[in-house]
Amino acid sequence: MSTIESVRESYRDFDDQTYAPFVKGVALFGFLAALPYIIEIDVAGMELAATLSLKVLILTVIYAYTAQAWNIMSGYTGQFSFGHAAFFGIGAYATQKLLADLALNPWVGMLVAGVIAAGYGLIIGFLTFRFKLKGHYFALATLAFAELLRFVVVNMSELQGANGYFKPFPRDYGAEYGLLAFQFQSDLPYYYLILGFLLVVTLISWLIKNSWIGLYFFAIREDESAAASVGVPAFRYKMLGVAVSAFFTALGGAYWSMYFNTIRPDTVFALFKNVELLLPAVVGGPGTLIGPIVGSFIVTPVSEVARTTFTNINGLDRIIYGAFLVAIVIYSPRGVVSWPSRARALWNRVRSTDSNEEVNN
Amino acid sequence: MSETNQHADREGETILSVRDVGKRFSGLQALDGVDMDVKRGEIIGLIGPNGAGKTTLFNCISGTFPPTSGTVTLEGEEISGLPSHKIARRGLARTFQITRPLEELTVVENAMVGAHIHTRRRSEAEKIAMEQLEFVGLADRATEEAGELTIGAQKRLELARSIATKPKILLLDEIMAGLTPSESKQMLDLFRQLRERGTSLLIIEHDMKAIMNISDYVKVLNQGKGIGFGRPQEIVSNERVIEAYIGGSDVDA
Repeated sequence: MSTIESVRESYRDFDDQTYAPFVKGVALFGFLAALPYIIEIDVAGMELAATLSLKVLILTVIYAYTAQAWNIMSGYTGQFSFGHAAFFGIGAYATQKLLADLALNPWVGMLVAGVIAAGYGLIIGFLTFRFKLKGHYFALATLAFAELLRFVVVNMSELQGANGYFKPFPRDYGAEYGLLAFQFQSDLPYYYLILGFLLVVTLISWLIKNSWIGLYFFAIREDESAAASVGVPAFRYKMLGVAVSAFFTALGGAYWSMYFNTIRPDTVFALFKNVELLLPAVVGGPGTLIGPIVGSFIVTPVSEVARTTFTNINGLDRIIYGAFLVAIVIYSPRGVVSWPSRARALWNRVRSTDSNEEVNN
Repeated sequence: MSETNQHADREGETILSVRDVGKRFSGLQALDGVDMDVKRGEIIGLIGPNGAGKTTLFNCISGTFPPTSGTVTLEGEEISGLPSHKIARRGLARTFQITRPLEELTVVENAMVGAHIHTRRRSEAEKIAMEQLEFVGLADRATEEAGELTIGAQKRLELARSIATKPKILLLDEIMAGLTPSESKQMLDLFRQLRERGTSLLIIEHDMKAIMNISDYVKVLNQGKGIGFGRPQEIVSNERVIEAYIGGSDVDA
């Protein structure tokens, strides 16, 4: 009986408590809330902030958020979407369009954008699920729907074509810098805002996972016809998954459009955006609650820092994304969050063969 | 059909009624005018050589695909053409020839998927699920991942998942295939207990001894057609049945 085992034992006891998820959530989000200050701590004349800026942290949490939203559909129901840029772009464009044309407050515009994205998701879902597209075919179909939007937007003068939108000043829509205007003059409030977004989508994910909806989602992912044979209306629940996921992804796009100064078809609808939105979930562990967050903190800072450090090597960040994707898919399809249990299993195996040898000797 | 009328004096309320059901797959008539009744609390064995259409009939009844002709009624209401999740909600559950555990879910979660047909509350579904696991003898493995169970345990899990929907009738497709003799015996015992609860069972099985032992009536299919229906002892002496099995080149049962 080692100390490791007794620690694990007491962790298990803690895990059985009903308050355990709450405590874990508070600990995680408490840590994330403290991060902007942690990176500024001076350790032996070095501070993390020198390489890991607040801007990188914001990007990291943005992608943690979108990966969490992607996860609700693709991680839980197993319908692997490769076209979430469609929803992200709708979120950004609808918010900015309503802002530019009607001076509609971005908070309201964001919700309208979410509903439009959910509607687009339902159209995609209706067409693909009705015709029982699965696996690669489904992924490619979703990609086609995303690319379709990019081409449409590029060619629509009503949406400013390839030029995109410039974010207006708060005074242009009768507001002052602050939460209500969705605009701030420094990065720190932006960080806490997206952290709030992440908290909300994580909470929704947790509620889904812990209800019959989550169980139905997982059952559909594992075996759709076996699930249907015990009463799971697979089509309806897949539609629910895509609608919820599209809605929240669009809110991420809306945030993006209010954080950065411009949006263009080749940024928010970019082909590569599809990868960026989902990769943290795949790396961290698809179908898990913590996976998208962990995954984003692995993938985003590394590629961002590489991109800004080695500016002479064009596309290094994408190479890093590609390497992560290939390595995870080959070696650890259940993602980084499965590593502790895999290590434990390996450790137990090593130990049991050791003790067997002792017996044999 | 004379073969059904022969036992028109069968007592009890009809749960499942299959009338003149046919299924055509582009050029192949897999089922042709099949008739069958299942009454409450009956165990009906469905036998026939390979390719006779047994699983196709299960698929037509449970809504995997609709029959091309004929009707299926459950407690007097037509279910043919409905999708399988709706048929399950009306009280008909099935298992599959090749076990289909929801691998990355735990044993109890597998059973809960079935139990949620009655309730949206997780705690209630868990209670129903645990009762079924208790019944099939898997309660002590509730928190294991379903993919890690042995074939025998997976078969019992599949049974637990389907009875968690509390079906009026249960269709079991070769659930005993691949079981050890003691596991088979245990399974037959579960069938009897289910019958005592009033659940009707329609069973496809290749183990003739087991099926003749457990079934109240046996239905024989050959080349998509019903060629015999009766008490097990009548079936073993039925000439057409003997011919279908011995006369054909395929004697696997």
